[in-house]
Amino acid sequence: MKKTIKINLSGIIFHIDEDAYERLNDYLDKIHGHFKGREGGDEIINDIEMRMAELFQARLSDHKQVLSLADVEEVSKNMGDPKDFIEEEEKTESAGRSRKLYRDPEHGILGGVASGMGAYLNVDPVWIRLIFVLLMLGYGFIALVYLLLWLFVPKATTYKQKLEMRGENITISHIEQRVKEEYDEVRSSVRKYQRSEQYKNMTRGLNEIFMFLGRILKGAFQVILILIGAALIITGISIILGLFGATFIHWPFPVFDVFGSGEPSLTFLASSLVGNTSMILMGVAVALLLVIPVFVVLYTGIKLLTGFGRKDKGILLAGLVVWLVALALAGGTVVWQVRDFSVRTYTSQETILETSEAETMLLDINESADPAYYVDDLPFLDDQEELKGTDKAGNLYIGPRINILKSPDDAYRLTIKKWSRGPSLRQAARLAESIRYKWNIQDSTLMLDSHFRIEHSSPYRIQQVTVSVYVPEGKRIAIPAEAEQYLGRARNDQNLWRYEIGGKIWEMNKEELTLYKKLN
Amino acid sequence: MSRITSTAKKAPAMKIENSKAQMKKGVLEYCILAIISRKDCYVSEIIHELKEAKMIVVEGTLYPLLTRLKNAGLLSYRWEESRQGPPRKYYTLTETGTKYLDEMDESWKELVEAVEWINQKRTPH
Repeated sequence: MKKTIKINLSGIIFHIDEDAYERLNDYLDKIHGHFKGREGGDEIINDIEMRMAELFQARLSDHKQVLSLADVEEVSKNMGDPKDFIEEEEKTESAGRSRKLYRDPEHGILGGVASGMGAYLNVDPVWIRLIFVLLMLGYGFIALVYLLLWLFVPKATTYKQKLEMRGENITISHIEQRVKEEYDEVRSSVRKYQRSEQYKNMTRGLNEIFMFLGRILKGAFQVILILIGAALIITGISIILGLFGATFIHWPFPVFDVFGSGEPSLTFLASSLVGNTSMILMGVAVALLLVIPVFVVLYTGIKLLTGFGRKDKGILLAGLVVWLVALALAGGTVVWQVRDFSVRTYTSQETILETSEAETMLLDINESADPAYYVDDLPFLDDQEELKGTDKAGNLYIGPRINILKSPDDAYRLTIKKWSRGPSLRQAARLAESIRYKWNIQDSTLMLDSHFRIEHSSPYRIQQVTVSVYVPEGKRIAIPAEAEQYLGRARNDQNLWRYEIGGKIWEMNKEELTLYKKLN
Repeated sequence: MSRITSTAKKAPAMKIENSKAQMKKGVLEYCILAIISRKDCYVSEIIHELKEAKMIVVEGTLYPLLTRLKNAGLLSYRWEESRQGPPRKYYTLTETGTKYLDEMDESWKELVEAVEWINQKRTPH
């Protein structure tokens, strides 16, 4: 028993033995390879197939219904090998092909496909590999092409094959023909391979696995890109929402007075710290510094989902340039503004207090000029531990620092130092002098203002007032509880500090204050 | 692909097979036209006659030539049903083909005479 195959040759059905079928297929492949792509090539192929069908038919009868290998061999011998055809073009078969495509595993990394192609095209295989890898990154199926080439391009093993692989240089005019020939050869070797049982049982499965792996690789790559893109978009949107929300933060003042609450906003207050121009420049710079990275994150995310275009690099580059300019602008503005704070100086005023021989002087705080809002933790006002506040108009209220010290003689004395910073000593001194801090003494009561005021229109250069009250030895000072928050230095025998000193009467001894008695 | 041959291309390596093929090529076309001029015939008849005359060894040679002659307008064909097997292409000479053949006849006679005249003077080996 023999297995037969049913074929259709030129419109006629033949039953043909399997081995005969393979031989016929090889022959027709050769004919195809020879005539394909020529002028009238298809017609010639049809004519030949038709003639072969005729010859086959003549060999069949009621007693013989199946074409055998002998039939095919006889008929194809009759038709002749394409290289024996007498044609108008002189055959160049004797010259042979200068080069053949082989795999070159000796110089290869995986299967020697790239090095073989490199030898064939006479280029360094590194470039072929680079192209393969880059293409694989972009198009997953290139990996499959590589695997198929690995599978079907023969390996150069014999010396002759290696010579053929290196060959002589290919001229441009040969390339077209070469490509056609190689294509036909590869196709014919693929076909031959496809016909084998081995292929049917195993390699088709393998092929499907390759294809499947290729798809999975490509799919996974795309999924990862999409996930990254989505994450970037979510991040970008979150940051935008965060920035937007930050403008509503009430800490301790609103950043912008968006709700018209009447409270001075941070930006409003900061305008007395820095000049208006600097404020605007800084605002623009900070906005750009914040927004551009967010924009880049969002843009990258969107592009990962939709694919990068040619313009995108330019846009991102432009974003980077603008961001750097903004950074320089912000830095420049800061440096420029820091100059305004570079010099610190003070003016001092000393007074002997007339206390009409009293044994105890009462310290009192005049809180008539209270600010509307207290500022406990404004970052840029918080380097000194004074009480500060502001009103709706943005005027600043700053409390004095009160020190209780020992008088060098037997008189109560008062020293008021006004401090300020500025871009120059002269300007710092001018700002210091312009501080209006009021006090008065009445009988034995020293009345100190709770704050001095800096108009919103005038610059804030960390102005301070230090009040030093000198108490003679053996004399006393009564410090009410409400005054203690203004106290700075006040050495005492109780080793109390600041908030525990108030509400007591103290007597100055040789070195320090001693507790005389508590106020009720 | 099928262009007029440039023999100069591979002048140094003259091979007898090539020379024979060159010689036969022109003659083969002439023979085909001559066979078809007697009566319309289909491929297998042409082949039969050429094989008998030992003009061709393999059949495959014929098809490209027929296609070329047809494309050159010297031949045309018609389909005819056959009792056994597929329909057949019956080739016939066109008017151009007939004129072409007449000129070939002339040329052939001149050629044969010329070769004979030259060979007469050759001393046989």
